[in-house]
Amino acid sequence: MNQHASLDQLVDYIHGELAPADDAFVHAHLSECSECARAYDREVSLTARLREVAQAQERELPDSCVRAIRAAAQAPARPSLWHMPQLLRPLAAIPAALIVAAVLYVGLAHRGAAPAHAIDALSYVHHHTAVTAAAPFSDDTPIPAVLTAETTREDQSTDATP
Amino acid sequence: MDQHAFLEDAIERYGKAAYNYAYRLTRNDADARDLTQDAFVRVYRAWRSFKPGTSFRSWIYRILTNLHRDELRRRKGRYPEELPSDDDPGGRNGRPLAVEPIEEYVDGYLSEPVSRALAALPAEQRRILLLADIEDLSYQEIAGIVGCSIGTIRSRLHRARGQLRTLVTRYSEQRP
Repeated sequence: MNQHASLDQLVDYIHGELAPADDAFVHAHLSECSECARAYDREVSLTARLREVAQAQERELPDSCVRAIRAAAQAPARPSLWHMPQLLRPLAAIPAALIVAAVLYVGLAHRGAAPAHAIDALSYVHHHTAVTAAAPFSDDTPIPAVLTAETTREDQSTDATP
Repeated sequence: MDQHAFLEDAIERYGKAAYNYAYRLTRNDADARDLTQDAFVRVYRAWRSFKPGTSFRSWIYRILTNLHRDELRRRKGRYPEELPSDDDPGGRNGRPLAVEPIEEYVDGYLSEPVSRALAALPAEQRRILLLADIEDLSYQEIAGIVGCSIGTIRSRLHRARGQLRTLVTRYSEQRP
């Protein structure tokens, strides 16, 4: 087998976290590849040193810590909303109600505002036809003024007149 | 079993393991005590949510991990350290480590550079190494404790081991 096991594969192999096929590959490969077997030994050694270091620094749980846990457990928990007296609970809804009221007020105020002027596309075409018919293809023809909602509305009212 | 009995049983069985995990995370005694205390108080208050038959160790480690993460964020990533430094290679307050780094392994590692390298790792990488290599938990258990996928745990562990190797090599070369 020419393919070597990667370091990541070796780490997963040590932790027993490889898929069965990969596990079988690494297991077989280690018996025939001294290079990978050497890398495997180094990884095992690293894990062993980590455990030794942890063991060396291991300590007993201090009695004072146990007493502190018991005391803290007995102490009343900080009251949350649901620990409030039942009669006071509706008070918590006041800020939420105020926010909802403000949103509704702002929404309704904008609802009554006049809509923006709409330009009828057909009158735009009529206006353009009228201007170009008056002075077709003349270099001296002044550039028509920019259409505004007001001029368009005037045109529309003119068009509507029989 | 009532609430108090549940707490006493939890302290009796897992108090030492929880405290040591907290100590390895925080690397100082005062913070390890605070973390352990907070974790057991949470266990006490939420004792009914524990399902018999599930791993209590995973539960308490999850609480400790979350508390530690929150505290790290609050402190912007730093805890005061207490573990062996360059000036104190033998261990805390001059107390020698139980395993002296005297044995030389062919192609192996020595304890002292490993200890320094572990302390020098970023909190996230140290957490994964503690759970995978020292606590010997499965990737699935670690994923449950840390709150991410098995794939993420796998890649974080690979990265942490890679970083550890680099640091151990560097510290080994610095040895007199």
